[in-house]
Amino acid sequence: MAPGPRIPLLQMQNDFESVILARHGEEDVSLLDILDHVLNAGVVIHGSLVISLAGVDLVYLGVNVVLTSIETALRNIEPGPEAKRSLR
Amino acid sequence: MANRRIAAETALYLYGISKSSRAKAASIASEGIDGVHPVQSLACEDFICWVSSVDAASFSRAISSNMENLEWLALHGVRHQKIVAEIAARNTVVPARFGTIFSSEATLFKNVRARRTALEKVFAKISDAEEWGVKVFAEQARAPQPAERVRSGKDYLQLKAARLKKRPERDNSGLQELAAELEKIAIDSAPTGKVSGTQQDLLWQATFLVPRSRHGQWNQALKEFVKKWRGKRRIEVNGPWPPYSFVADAE
Repeated sequence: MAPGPRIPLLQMQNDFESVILARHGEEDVSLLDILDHVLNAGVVIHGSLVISLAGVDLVYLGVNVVLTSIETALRNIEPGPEAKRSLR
Repeated sequence: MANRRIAAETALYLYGISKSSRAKAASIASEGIDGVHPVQSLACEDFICWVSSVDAASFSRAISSNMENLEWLALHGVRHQKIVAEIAARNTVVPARFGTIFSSEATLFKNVRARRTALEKVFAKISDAEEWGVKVFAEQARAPQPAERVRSGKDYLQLKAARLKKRPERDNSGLQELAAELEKIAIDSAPTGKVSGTQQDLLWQATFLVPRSRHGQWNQALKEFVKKWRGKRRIEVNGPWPPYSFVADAE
């Protein structure tokens, strides 16, 4: 699967001599980081933040389910036994 | 407060909430989540809600059918991030969850009022702090293997098996120490990596809420580990992010 559109790097700080940012291709890795952080705000679903549309209250979409399928997609891009053993 | 009339088919996508200040809320240059509508700031009591209009029917349909579509999610996740980052550059902001939509200003304001106390608590926690992600990768000698002649499928499998055997054991030593050092400096920490957790050679990652006043100390601690692990491990730091991972109490 294509990694999506090219993403401008955010205000990344790189003042560590040997800290390497985004070695595997800047766009892809920073995109993963963006999604990590943006979606981290939605990982726990309490159902208290409700999307209210046209008078119908929809509980926030099941982000955990979504992320599982993204992980699967990414695993297909970058397979490797180490990857699957990553600590969470 | 008079609610602006919002066309029946229009909903409000919420990026985040900041505290109102005497200064007029600066306008946001980035386009909204749908790539069309501008970002607006709506005053609600002591708060400012950062929103943009979306077409209620088509956007909610788009969200529910594309949350598993990495390409769609990437485009919209990045738009969301750009806008929240732009707001956060000038205000302390409690970021909303990706995909939070309200049917009207009235329902948004009702929600904000109901969470007022929780919001105040979160503002106290996140003011003058930034979110930083830290990742540790194994830096194994990945010298390019000399090209070996593969004449058959069997050759290939044998070669592959030999390479797999050579792979060094995973080494987790010292990761707890790094985590403990960083936790001492940070206000809070949280697990992360739902999306990037499958990156090659990733040993550990977490995200931290770091006070701006301790930024030097934070960098120093990281530099020491960079030095200590040179040649064996690589540390990646990403940020500063709006405090996405530290606002769950506002719910």
